[in-house]
Amino acid sequence: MSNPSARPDTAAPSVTNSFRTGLLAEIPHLRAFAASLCGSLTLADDLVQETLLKAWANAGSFMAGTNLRAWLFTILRNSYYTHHRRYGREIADTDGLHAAQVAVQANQEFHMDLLDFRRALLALPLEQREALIMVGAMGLSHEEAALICDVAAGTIKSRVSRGRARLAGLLGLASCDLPEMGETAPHRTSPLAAR
Amino acid sequence: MSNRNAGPPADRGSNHDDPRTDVNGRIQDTIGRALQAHYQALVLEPIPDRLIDLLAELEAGALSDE
Repeated sequence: MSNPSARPDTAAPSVTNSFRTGLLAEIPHLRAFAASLCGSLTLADDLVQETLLKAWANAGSFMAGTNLRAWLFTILRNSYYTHHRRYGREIADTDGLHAAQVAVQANQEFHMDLLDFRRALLALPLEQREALIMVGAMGLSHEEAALICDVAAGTIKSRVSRGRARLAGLLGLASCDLPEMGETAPHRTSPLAAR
Repeated sequence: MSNRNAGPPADRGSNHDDPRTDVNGRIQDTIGRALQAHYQALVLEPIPDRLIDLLAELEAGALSDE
């Protein structure tokens, strides 16, 4: 992707069958990631379309055997930060995310609706939101997320931690007789997290 | 995908004997589940035809000038 000289005149010769199959298989994850960034499935589909076109055109720079999802996420994220972010910021609500009042399977203490959760998630700073999605929802390692975002793993770790604290606050989970659970609660210096 | 116990060690106390840490752990667990529910619901959304068609067109070389 970063090596234009490797780009063939037409992408087709370097597009292998497994690459195409891989793209197809990643579409649901690309959409879910994109919708988590911009808050709208309609905008997400535009982003995914752009990502697929770029991926196809740059197929020659994808190293077979490496992580296709991470490569695609990097393309999608760069596209979002380059052209789409301003639209995303205008989305005030969870347009198109079709979250009926589905209760999240939680534990007995903490109940929440998916829609409420999505509102809170979209209220987070973008960099905390994307870190939470990659690490907390998709199970990527801090190192994998760091590669996609082009930052240090420690930065991802800190964004996840701050994002979790902020979500807990927005969702009212932090208020239940836990004075220590403020903005900084899940920090490593917190007595709660110090084990 | 991570399981529900996954989480960065820095924000999850592993000592569940401490009731305060335990509450914190359950809050983090709830957030973790909600994140996964949010993401999984989106993954399961039907894929629009235009994206499938796009790949087919690319494959057919219709957009190879891109």
